[in-house]
Amino acid sequence: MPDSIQFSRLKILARDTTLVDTSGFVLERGEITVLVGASGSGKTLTARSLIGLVHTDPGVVASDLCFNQGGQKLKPYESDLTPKQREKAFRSIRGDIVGYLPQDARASLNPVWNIGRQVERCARLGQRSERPEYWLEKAGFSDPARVCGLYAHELSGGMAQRASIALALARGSKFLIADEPTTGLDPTVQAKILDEVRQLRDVGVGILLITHDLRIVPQIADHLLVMDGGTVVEKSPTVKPSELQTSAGRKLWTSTQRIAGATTASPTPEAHQ
Amino acid sequence: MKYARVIGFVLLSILFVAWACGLFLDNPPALTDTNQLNLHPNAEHLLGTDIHGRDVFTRMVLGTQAFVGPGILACFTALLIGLPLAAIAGWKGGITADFIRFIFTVFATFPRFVLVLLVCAIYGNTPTNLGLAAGLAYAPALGEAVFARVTEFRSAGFVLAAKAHGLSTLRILGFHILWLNARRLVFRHLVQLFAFFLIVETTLSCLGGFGTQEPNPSWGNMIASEEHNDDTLTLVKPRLETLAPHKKRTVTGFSEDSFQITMPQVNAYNPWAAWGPLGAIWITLLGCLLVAETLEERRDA
Amino acid sequence: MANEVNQRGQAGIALFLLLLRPLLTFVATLAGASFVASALLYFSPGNAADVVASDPATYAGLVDKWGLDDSLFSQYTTFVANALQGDFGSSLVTSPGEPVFEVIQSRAPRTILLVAGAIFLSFGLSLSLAFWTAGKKTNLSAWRTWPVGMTRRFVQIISILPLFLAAYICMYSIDAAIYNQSVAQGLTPPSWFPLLLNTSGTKTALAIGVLAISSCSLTEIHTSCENELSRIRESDFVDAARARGDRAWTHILAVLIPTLTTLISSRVSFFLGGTVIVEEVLHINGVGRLFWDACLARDFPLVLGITALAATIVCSARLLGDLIRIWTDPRQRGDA
Repeated sequence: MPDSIQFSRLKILARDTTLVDTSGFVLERGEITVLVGASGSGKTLTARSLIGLVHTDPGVVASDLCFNQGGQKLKPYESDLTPKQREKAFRSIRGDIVGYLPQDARASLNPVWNIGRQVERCARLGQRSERPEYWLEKAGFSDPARVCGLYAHELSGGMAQRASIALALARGSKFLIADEPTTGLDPTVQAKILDEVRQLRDVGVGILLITHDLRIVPQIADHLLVMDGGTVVEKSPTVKPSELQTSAGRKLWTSTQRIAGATTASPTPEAHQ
Repeated sequence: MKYARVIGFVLLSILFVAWACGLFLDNPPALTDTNQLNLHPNAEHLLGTDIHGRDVFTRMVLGTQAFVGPGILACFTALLIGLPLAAIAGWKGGITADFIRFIFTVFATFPRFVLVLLVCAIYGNTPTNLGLAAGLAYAPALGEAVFARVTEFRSAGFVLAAKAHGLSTLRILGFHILWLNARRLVFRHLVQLFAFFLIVETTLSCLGGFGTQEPNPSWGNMIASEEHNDDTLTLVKPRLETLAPHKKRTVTGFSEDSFQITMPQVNAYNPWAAWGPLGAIWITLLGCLLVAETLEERRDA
Repeated sequence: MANEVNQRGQAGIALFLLLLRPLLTFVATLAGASFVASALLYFSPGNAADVVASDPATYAGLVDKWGLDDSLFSQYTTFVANALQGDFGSSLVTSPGEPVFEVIQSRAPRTILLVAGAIFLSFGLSLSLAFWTAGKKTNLSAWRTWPVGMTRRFVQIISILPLFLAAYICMYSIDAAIYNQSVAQGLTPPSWFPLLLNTSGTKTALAIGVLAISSCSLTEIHTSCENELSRIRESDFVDAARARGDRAWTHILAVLIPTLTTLISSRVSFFLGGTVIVEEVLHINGVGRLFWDACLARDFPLVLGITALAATIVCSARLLGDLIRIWTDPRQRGDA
């Protein structure tokens, strides 16, 4: 049975506010699931609950997250686990099973070590023996030897994102959460990064890609989910954003169209009838 | 913590009330009646009398005179030296800022206590000199903090908007940046300077030679008068009694090769004569610390 | 090939320019500090000749010999020229005739030991505590958070005591305890009793302890360490490292070291000032006590010499801190 991650229930609280209260989805290896939604709809929190890095208090109060690994089931949010045991379970999950590409790539790199050293460290953790230059080249750098000596503050946004991907490649996780990898980058760089994401999928990594840019969805998604106000409101049977049914989905789609100048109509559902 | 704020302000108000009362009091004279020396607290003397028969409580209240006045002078000195320079440096930037910061760095190279001692030794030992020296020694720290704050706000959106509206530089800098945004920072540093001055003044008075001289009372020299400073370590046993009052011992003669004990006064030592001022110093410093804590802002690292 | 040589040459020049700035700052600050000290002496109401001379003839002769009537600038340059050769003049009162440099030299090791010990102790204690308390907020309703808050308050209350009071209290309590344990019961006390009269390891340890903790030293260092540590722990790259299954503490330490260096080099001047008090109270024959006696006796050459030495030590500590920071933190190497 191929590896998968699934959950059907997730609730995240921050003091008295419910941030996320949703039914779940399934992530399979070798597939790209795209999670779209407006800012503040809880996409990042949901993704971070998969690796147990929700920092609000009390955080995740209900979840039946289950990792299916070669027949074994791992349920870190089981209610009979103490926080220490839960943390221990997640430590075995993070990195080895699930990798994480944070939103702000440059801030997520260690500022005092050069890129080569960080990639080497990741490769060592992932028990890969290739040199850092190998991983940097796979991440799309044309001059990996030079990049190895650079530091985080010397990288542009696109380079930092690719360095982050190199770290994830070297780590060799089975699943990868990519949090808005193309936001804020220019189109050529965006295309390169989407290529690398597809490459990852082709070698069998299961990817959860979070974005609020619907234009990249058709090129890359195998599944499409829409989140709004802390809930997964739609699981699209096709991956065409134009065929989204819910109001949240359609609002996103028409706003995207307006930006692209395709239509001047106001974003109401009636206009599309 | 809200409690910290309340306790801090209460303690400091007690201090200032004591200072105000001290303006109307006279230093109690030394007594020659040996029966009046080292009395324990009673109805007439709230904390007893000291080694010379003077009322400890009155002297403690008077002791605030030694550091509150000069301390406020020190605060003003640091303010007048540090604030304008730092404001100009922060506002102009560039070479001016580098030069002014260099001056601050030069003065910050001296340990603060060493600079104060230096000035007192060279220019004479008066409370005014002490206050001025302490203000000068602390001005670089205040200046650097204000400089950082002004630099942070210099390019803030509302400042650019104010300039566009035609407000004068003085108004923007003086009112909007310094008063509205740096006020708490400056007050916090001034409170810390006040605490520093208290420590310096009591240290100098206690160690002798500088600071407040007898017969003027200061919390420092009240502690010092309860012991001798020479190397023959006289009165060691009764002094040990002073600091361990619960141990009741009869005093007998005792001598050894290396040091001499002389017989104490007729009355046993009054521990409050030393512990009163000590406690007062500690409590005042605690008050300063708590007030400085409440003046902290989240942006202060 | 030529390109490579060119690159290495450029890197060499860049490195030289990078190190030049801290070195220039060192020299400039030291020159400025010594100028300030000389200026303070120049404008004083009395001068060195007053201290020693008893009649007008000797006074005039001394003023002539020591150049006390020259302009500030020429006095300063003479001072610097002599100082660079190790000649700070001779002590007038404390050890008449003896060259200042030698007077200081014989006592310097004890003071340096005190300062170094205080730095190790205060930063060691603060960091250990900070690893536990950093980032933890206390509120009165949750009793589990009380230990952290109580520890912070305890550190504060112990630490605000002025140096001299802490030294006196510790010295006399220890003496009283030993006295009651041994002498009062007829036993022989330890060799270092009484503390005031004997030079001993115990007294040095007590001096280091008092210096490290009192006069708000420990609480200020602890608060700085806490702030730095919590800022680093909550930063994005530590979070990303955890998300990769990496251990966080290597990353935290790597980023902590540059800031720690800055902290340490900024506390050196504070500890130097503290040694004056601690040595005087505990009767340790170091440079601090020498400075105190010299100030009391208005021994100006010695006072100036020790002030210059203190300024040199502080500037050197800053220089060392800058160099270490450039070495460990690549962000400093850019156009900062």
